[in-house]
Amino acid sequence: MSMASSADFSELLWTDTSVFTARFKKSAAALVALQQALERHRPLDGREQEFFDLYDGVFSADPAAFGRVWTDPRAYQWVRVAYELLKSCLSGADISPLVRKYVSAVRCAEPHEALAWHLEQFKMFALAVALRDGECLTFERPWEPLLPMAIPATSWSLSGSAPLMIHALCHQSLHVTTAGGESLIVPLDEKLCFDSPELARHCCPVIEHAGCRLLAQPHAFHVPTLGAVAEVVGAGVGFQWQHEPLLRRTLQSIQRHDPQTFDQFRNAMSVVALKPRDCGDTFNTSHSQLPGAFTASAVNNPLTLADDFIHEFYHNRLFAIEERGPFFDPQAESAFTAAKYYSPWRCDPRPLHGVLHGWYVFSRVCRYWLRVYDDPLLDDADHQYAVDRLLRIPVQLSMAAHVLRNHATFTPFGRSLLKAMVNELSGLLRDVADAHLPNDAPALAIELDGSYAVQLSEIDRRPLTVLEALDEHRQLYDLDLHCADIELPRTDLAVAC
Amino acid sequence: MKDDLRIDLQAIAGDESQVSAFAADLEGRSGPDLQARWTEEYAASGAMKTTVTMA
Repeated sequence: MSMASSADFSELLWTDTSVFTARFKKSAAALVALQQALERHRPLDGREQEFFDLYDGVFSADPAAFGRVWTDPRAYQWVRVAYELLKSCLSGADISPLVRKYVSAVRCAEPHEALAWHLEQFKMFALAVALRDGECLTFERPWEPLLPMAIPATSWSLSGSAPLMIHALCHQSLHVTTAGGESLIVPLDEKLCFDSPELARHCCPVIEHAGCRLLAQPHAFHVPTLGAVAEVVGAGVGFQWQHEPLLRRTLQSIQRHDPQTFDQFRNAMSVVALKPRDCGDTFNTSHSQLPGAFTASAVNNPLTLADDFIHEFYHNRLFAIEERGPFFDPQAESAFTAAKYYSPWRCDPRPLHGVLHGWYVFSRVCRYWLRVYDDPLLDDADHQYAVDRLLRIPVQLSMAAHVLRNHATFTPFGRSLLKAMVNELSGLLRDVADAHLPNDAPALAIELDGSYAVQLSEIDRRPLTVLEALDEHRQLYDLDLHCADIELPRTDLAVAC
Repeated sequence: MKDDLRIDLQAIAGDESQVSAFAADLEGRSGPDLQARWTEEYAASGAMKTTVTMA
């Protein structure tokens, strides 16, 4: 990496699509290594045998079918947890906080027990591969999935109030028994009806536009311990169907105003789910362990929802880049857990990693709004909102860069990427300056119905301008004065990191 | 890309480099700095905004 040019780092940051495929191929290599090490050591005294049988089926499957299933976001999470658990079983290695939480959540006392339970969950992927390959599959031990459960890379999911056991997949139908002992055949075919008081079968919308194919599947986020991202599970599949037109118009907006991002988005993102805005503690979430997936709050405005989708896409992209090497010096204070820095986008102190993610994703969101602003078909309300975003985001970006410059310790790799981000910020500020925006404008916020409303002061409820809103945010939340020396407005905010 | 990404496990198993690195790491035979780096767990969430608007 040290010999790479700044152009290489810029490409890595913004356009290189191999970061996505590398992640999937890496997780597949980890699966192969996992199987090989399991077979050599057999730490579970025979309980791993059914995993070997299922693995053999997957191993000989059509690579296209396996590829489709293995790009499901949960495959990465599954193999990472399995990998750490096996490593702990074989070498006594410590498990990460992520896997420790997982072990606790699935009520296992120690890594061997957790590994046995976790290998059972591989049945989800074996089932999906068999379904895609048109094969039948019978489990030696019936599988009790966590409900609701979405079959990877398909639109199908199951939910129920009581546990169920899946015995087999035969001719595109699941053979299950319910907690009450009733045997059911669940056809995975929309033309065939299914009705049961104990078990619901769902088929989620597939949002297709210009080569983009997104499953709107909330049940794919039902993964133990992934926190806020699971808030969307309760929204249900019906909520996705209600918002299918909004999802489609959102993709259209991304394609229209940011075709370069749309090209990457359609190639990297596979699952989305919307939730009501007042459900849970977050608006939108991407999780590092679920590549290709994100959740968003349903606000009925495709222009601003596209902002959210672009934002979440770039979180995904930066997570993928992070696998190339650490950005932050591991000897310094933890950039992941020390949540004590001002973020101009948040009301709570954030770790430096979060501030970096904010800078990165809003860089591209700002470029999107530059193109929206230039759209001659935009109505006045949307235009005013674009002005707000273009006055607001560059200042926030400069504040985030300021915090990182003063408080972060980067690795050589991280420094090279940071330099490319600074270059991008400098160019962005020039482009925003060339847009001939007013010096200030009314601050706007989005209402639930997608309309815009004037942003009021949190202190005295007077209407704010954008610059006043930025200043008030800093007054209220920059308690340690990380950005106190940034004057508003500034037009020369490019920083030298 | 994702929709036509072919992942050939047999080919991956035949290409020893990355699989060997992972297997060595799993079995505790290698140092900490190898290809088995996983992204740190991080949820990038837009926290509920407290923005007050003139509804």
